[in-house]
Amino acid sequence: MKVLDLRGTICPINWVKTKLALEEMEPGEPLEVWLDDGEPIRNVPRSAADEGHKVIRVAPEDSFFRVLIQRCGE
Amino acid sequence: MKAHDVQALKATGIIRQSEREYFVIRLRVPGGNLEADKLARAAELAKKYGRGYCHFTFQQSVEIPGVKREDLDRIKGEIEASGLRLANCGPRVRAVTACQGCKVNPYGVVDAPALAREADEKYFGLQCPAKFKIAYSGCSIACPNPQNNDLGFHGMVEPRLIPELCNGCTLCVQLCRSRAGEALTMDEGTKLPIKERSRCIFCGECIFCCPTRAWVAGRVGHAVYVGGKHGRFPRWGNRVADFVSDEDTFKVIQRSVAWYQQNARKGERFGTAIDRLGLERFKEEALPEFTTTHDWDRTGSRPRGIEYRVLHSWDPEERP
Repeated sequence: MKVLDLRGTICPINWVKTKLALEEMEPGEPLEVWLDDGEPIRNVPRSAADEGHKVIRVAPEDSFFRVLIQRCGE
Repeated sequence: MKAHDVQALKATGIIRQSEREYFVIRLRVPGGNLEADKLARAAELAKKYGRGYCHFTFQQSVEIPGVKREDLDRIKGEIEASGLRLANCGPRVRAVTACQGCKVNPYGVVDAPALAREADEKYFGLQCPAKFKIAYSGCSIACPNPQNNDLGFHGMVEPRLIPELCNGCTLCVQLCRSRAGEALTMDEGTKLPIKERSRCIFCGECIFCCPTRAWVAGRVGHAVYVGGKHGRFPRWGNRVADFVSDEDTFKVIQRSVAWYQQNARKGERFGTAIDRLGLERFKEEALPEFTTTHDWDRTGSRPRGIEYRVLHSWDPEERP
């Protein structure tokens, strides 16, 4: 599975990178993004959902979150 | 210029500077919103009568410093003609402040600047024993410092889950744990978040973050803090009411100011009067029908007696 490490990447660059990665994927394909606490974890999953992608699962790590996103089908 | 003339001018927002021949003109900007045309007009007046700059005060007023005494009548006339209004200073209700509120900030749950404007129209300038500041915040992040105003409000919201929309991603649980009341846990059976009401601080983090919009806003209202101030001897306001409606915030202001006018000594701030006469007495006399959702800690930010994994409070006395 494709993993995007966005720790240390600020808003909205983290979302731009997530969006570009999702655009290159096939519908239904999963993507894991690693996001910092604070604005990144608040904003990126919501932005992905707003564009129709599915936020499947959020798992906390010591200092960041692993977020599983499924690319929307169309 | 005689002392009482200076005092009279001060009451109308024309304040003598340390350079005693000059005055600062304080313009009233309730809720911190000023029409662009009026702002441009203030800038023109600063160039014409002042020193070519404006000062933005902590009370969100726009000030024009460096106006000569002999120009005061002229600048007053031009201010009135332009639709700008003078603010005030001294022992009275000051211009009401606010953040941008829910219309601008996605976290906001109440329209803080609109309420500030309305409260300002109703209560601005009422004579008090000392200064009286009122602030409205759109959410519990509380940027306008409601806890350090004589009377402060911040928005609060009761989250409600629509189970059919939840896909069990757990984002709300993670965020509630790291930045809110640690009120949510995942039910491993149903794969849905469960809310422990006694821990919920009604901040709306879950509603804002939810990717599927399964959390929606239920009851919305204002938390009320009384007696806060900054200054040389700061005082943190007491949280005395929760989920107060927009309309009832005016009732809270009206009753609090009336109680303050009747009970405080000359020059005594609201919080000092509350400390002298007792918070319980104030609540009974001024706000008997209002209640809080929790027994809040001294900071009014989290329920008392609950152990938290993350230390949200700066107050070591409140830590478990």
